[in-house]
Formats: sequence, C-alpha cells, structure tokens
Amino acid sequence: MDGLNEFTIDDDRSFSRLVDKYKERILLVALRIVRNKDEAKDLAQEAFASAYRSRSSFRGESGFYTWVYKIVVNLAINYIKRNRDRQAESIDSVFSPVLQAADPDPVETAELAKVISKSIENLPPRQRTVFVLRHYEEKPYAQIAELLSITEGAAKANYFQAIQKLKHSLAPYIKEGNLIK
Amino acid sequence: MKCARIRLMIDDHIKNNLSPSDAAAVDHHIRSCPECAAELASHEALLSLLHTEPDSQLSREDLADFLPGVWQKIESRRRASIRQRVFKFVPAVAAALIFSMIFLRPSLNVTDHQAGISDVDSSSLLASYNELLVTFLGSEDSEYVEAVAAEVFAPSYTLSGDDLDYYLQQIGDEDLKLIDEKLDQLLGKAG
Repeated sequence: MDGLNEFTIDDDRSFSRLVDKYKERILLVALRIVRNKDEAKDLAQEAFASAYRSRSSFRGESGFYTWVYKIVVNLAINYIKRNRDRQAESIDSVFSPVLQAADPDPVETAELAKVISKSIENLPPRQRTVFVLRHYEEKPYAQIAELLSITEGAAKANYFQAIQKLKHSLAPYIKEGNLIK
Repeated sequence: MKCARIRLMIDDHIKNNLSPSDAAAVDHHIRSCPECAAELASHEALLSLLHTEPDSQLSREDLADFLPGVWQKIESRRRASIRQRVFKFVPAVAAALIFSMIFLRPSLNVTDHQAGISDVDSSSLLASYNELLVTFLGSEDSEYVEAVAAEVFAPSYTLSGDDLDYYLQQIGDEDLKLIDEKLDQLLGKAG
C-alpha cells in the first residue's frame, strides 16, 4: 500500500518505514533534475520532512509516494531557478568538440556524458524539469502537468522546446541516424 | 493533421505510445512532409545520443544516513517553530516563561522566590510546571509541551531583565490570577 493507511498521524515508526521504502526513488528524481548529489540529497530529505510537517493535510486519495514525489519535484525546480546563473556554463568549457572525431573510449564517453549533462542543465528550469520527468522518469504528460500544476498542453510544449534546444546545443555531436564519432 | 500537431506527437510515436490510429496518421503525414520527416530523424538521433549518457547512480553510502537526516530536518523545523511561537510573546506563553524562569532556573536572580522553593522536590516541581504549561498553551499534546519546555530550558536561552519586564507587561489579568493560584498550590506543596 502506498496510501494514507500506511501512515497515520503521530506514528513516527510508520513514517520512518515509508522514508526507507521510498528514499531511493525520491533521491533519484531529485538527482536527475538538479544533477548534484549533495543538493539532491538535501532536497529529498527536505521533501520528506515537509511531508511529515504537513501530515494533517494528507489527502486519502493521494498516495504517500506521489505526494512526496510532487514536493521534491517542486523543490528541485525552485532550486534550479535560484541557482540558474551559477549552473549556466558553456558546453565548450566542458568538452572540446574536436574529440568527437576520435575513436570512442571510456574517457570520451565520460566527456560526452558531461556535455549532455551540461546541455540539460542549461535548459530553462521548467523545460529542464519537464524533460527529466518525461525522458528519465518516463512520466506521461498528464502526470507531469499535475506535478507541476500546468496544463497538459504546456507540458507537451515545454518538452518539445527542450528537445529543440538540446538538438541545437548538441548539434556538433549528432547527425541524423547516427552519432558523430 | 497540421505539422505543429504532428511534431508534438513525434516523441510518443518513437516511443510507441500512440494509439494505432494516431500512429498511422503520423506515418501518413511524414511520408508526404519532408520537414516533419527531418524532425522525426533528428529527434531519433537526439534520443540515441541521450541514451549514451549513463543514468544517475546512487551508492549505498548515499542512502545510509538518509533517514537520520530527515529526522534532523523535522526536529530542526520543530524547534524553529516553537521558538517562533514562544517569542511571539503570546501572553499565555509569556506567563509560562515567567513561571519557569522564576522557579526552575537557578541562575536567575530572583532570590525571594527561589528561597521559597528551595526544598521543593524537583520532580514534583517539574510536574507542576508541565501542568501549568499545558494550561497556558491550551494544548495537551505532550510532545509539544515537552518541546516547549526543552526550548525554554535550553542552555543557550537567557532571559534579560528587559525581557522579564516585557513578559510581565504581556501577562493579562486572568493569566496573572492563574499564576497566582498555581504558585499558591506549588508553595503549599513545598511547605
């Protein structure tokens, strides 16, 4: 069970059990959005603490996991909004496109991962969050819309815009049908 | 269908999330629209590139101290909330503070009162204090009362003469009367 029956008010042991059950999934979505392990952990813990503090507003129809998930996603988007300037970094400062012509090896693969990560970090906060929820978390648009309190159409549009920007920023590394190696 | 709508469906088309009729409509459109066909190809290429990025990984160490951290945040926020409420100078809480400072903090220089209770058993004094605090806070939530008490008796908490004067000014007649009665009871027990 994921719902209210698992967690009764003032039952701290039940709460701890739920934290242990869901901590990995909650921490993972935070990490996928903010892309910093320490910050992700802080946000994930904050999400559980917020859930505990507002337990009186717990709605029966909303599962505990879904509830904490929504909190952590919104904490994460607020975090990247606050830290956008600090995180913004040129892709060229991370990875030189000249490496694209070399044979793939573990070092290059790691470098390419950095480029991709940096491209995602450079997306506007809402597009970045929608992209993560769609691409990595494989959430349907309707659920993304509910999580971020936007319309389903806005969720689709944000994802589409994110894809277009990633195509542009990663253009040196891709060609249709194949990666440039 | 128009190109704009088709392009919003391309991602679902690649991931086989479309209904058979929508998928057929997208396929039909793409066969006759080079721009949307190019969009589909570049979208597929991007997804292929993105899949080369390893997914975020968590280690056992990342999760080991997770739960204590959650409880630390809960306790931290609880203390801040209590402190905020205590320092709002709600008359009832101020009255409880006065009481606690006078009778339970030996460092406070209120010698007359201290002399009067010097022989009071500490456990009965604390029980009386908690009873008073419950009355003033209007709450029988023992966790909350204990937390307020812990805040009041925190080693870092100090009460200046100005604070004391301020608290005294905040106490209403009814609360003063209640304090008076409680003090009589307590000192009676002591005697």
